[in-house]
Amino acid sequence: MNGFPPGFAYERETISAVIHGANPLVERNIRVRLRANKHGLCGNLIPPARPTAKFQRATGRLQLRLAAHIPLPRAENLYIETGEVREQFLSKGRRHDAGQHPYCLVHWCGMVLHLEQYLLDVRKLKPLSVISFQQVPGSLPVILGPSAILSLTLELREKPESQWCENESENPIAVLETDISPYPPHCIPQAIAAMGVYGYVSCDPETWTSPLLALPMQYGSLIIQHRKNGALPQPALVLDSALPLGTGPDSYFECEFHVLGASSAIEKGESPIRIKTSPEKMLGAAVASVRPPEPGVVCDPILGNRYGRAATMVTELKAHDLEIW
Amino acid sequence: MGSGKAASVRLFEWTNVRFAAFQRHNGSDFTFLQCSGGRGCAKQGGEYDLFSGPPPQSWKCDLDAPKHQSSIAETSAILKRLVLPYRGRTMLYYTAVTGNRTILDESFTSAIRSLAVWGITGFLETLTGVRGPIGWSGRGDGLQWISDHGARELRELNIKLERATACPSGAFDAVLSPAAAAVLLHEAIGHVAEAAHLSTGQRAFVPKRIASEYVSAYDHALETGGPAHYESDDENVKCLGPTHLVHQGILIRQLHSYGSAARTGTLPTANGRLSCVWKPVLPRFSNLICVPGESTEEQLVDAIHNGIYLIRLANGIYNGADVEADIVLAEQIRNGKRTGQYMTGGQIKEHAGLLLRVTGLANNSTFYNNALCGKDGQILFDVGTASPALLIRQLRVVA
Repeated sequence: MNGFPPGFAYERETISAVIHGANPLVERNIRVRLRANKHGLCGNLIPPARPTAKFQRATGRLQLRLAAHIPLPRAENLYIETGEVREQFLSKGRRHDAGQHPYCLVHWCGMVLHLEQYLLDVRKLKPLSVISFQQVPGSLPVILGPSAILSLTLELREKPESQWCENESENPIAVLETDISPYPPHCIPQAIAAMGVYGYVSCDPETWTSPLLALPMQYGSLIIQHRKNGALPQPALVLDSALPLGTGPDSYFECEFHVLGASSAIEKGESPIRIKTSPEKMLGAAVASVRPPEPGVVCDPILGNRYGRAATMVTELKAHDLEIW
Repeated sequence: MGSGKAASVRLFEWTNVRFAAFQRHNGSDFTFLQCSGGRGCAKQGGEYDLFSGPPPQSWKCDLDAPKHQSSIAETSAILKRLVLPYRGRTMLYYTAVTGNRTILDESFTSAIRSLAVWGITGFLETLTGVRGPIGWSGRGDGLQWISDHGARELRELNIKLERATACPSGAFDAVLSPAAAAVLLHEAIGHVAEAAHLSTGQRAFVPKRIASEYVSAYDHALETGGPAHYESDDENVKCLGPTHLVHQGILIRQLHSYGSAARTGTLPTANGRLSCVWKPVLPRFSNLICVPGESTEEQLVDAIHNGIYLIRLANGIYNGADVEADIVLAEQIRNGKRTGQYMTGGQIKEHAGLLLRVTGLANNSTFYNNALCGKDGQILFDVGTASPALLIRQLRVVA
């Protein structure tokens, strides 16, 4: 019925500490045990091991230092998470460690600033100025950042009838599916990933009460890049994110943006803009990758955050071509 | 807490989540998972601690492990019977949550809330390739409702979808069945009346006209027959009776949690709700009831002469300015009569003020059997809407 050998058990513990904007530090400690039985897979939340004092000290110090020193405007959108995923398989009464994956994630207004095991060097971040969209010259070329590319691609792939998906191998944009997400809590063992959507649900207690349509049908992760490489135009308007605000043909996307100046200086958009467009139109306008694939995040209020890697791409669009709502 | 300073709240819930997924496509596939456990959240001194497992002993919080009323075998049999008659691709996902939630506020007043909700979501695809979304939810485990009504509803949906043609684009005079009207009222009144939970110091925009003078509505967590039913909300604020929201089309009151009420200088309305103790409390409506009119549904249909009768809508979205919903099933109205010519597909895309064009309400108000709401990623199974049939002029449909 479920394909697991009798006695199969898997234990997964995620400990993390999060600062989101002005919210206080949240420590999260979740331990799930999955066991195969005659009805399928049975999941239980079990008492977690206490985080080690070393981990607590390290994350606490890091978070407070990051929150205090990142010189970013609109700091209410700053999300900092440090954590660790530990996995164990159980068989014949014996435990087998399957790995320990520490990570550190920082994202802000649709841009992933850091997603690695190692600590972020806050000295690399420089103070930014703020710009309104009305001040952006209409002649600037439009660039799509990793999170925007990821979001538009995911949106398009949810419409299997679109021509873009039918001819994916012939598209100028190459999309590679992978089981390995850049965000360790989204990586699960192959045996459970093979169950599809239900495998992921069983590992993530946050989704245990979600209805079917609020579960992402395609888990795993994507690596997206344009088959052509090009040069990064400067100055340029960079769309950092593209969150769909509806469905259907006349949809709007809420996009964070920044202006990349001639000397690589960044002016951050003072608020997101709403653009009337379609994923086909935006991705169809991409002409080349200007940076290799980097981590991106899609902050979907229903499906939760999704992570992948995408190249930054330059388009044939100018700022005045965007239909602002 | 009303002063806006950091509150000290402890929450713990001990829940048992049962879910079953059925997929019927070239045979049938069946997966059953049962997940259970406790989830806790303590907030002290401005910091949160979230954890799984039983509550710490220092809480002195004795909760019984939750149990479902039916066995897995019984649940499985009932659900399997539901999908077996269909040969097209069908996917059903059943979730039932049962358990208890304890709330200990800063005045050391504690409350225990029982949780027992269920939902079925998925889709039914006819042999002609037409796909209709399915969504039912409510209180309890739903198995009795599924046995009594689920099979009949699926059968009717399947028959009508097989005969349906594509819905055309345009602006139509429309009569919405109580089920279809509930989807629009949920978006265009329910969510509009909820206070913003993130704004700081922003005054609510009330009074404000949001519907025609025919429309009046209120929120009541203890309304008889409503999917939501609680004496006090997730912040331990007691429900003292109906909250009148819309009077003759004018929004006169907003729904508040402790936090949103403190920020806007008003009182909470027992509408602070959360999907699980790990999530923040949001102002959410409980049961939204639209006051019925005096006409019969047939009189509304007769009044528009030519137009459409919307039987079922799904996937309603309110994005702060616009409302949209997918048309699952509609029927043509010709010469003041429903014709039995069914239509499907298409979408309603309107400004949130579409209820300003309501020119009639029927006298047949009923609670819609889908009370699911996923605002801000927090899925609640018991956000009820009771609506009569509505007559809306020039409803915009996009094919």
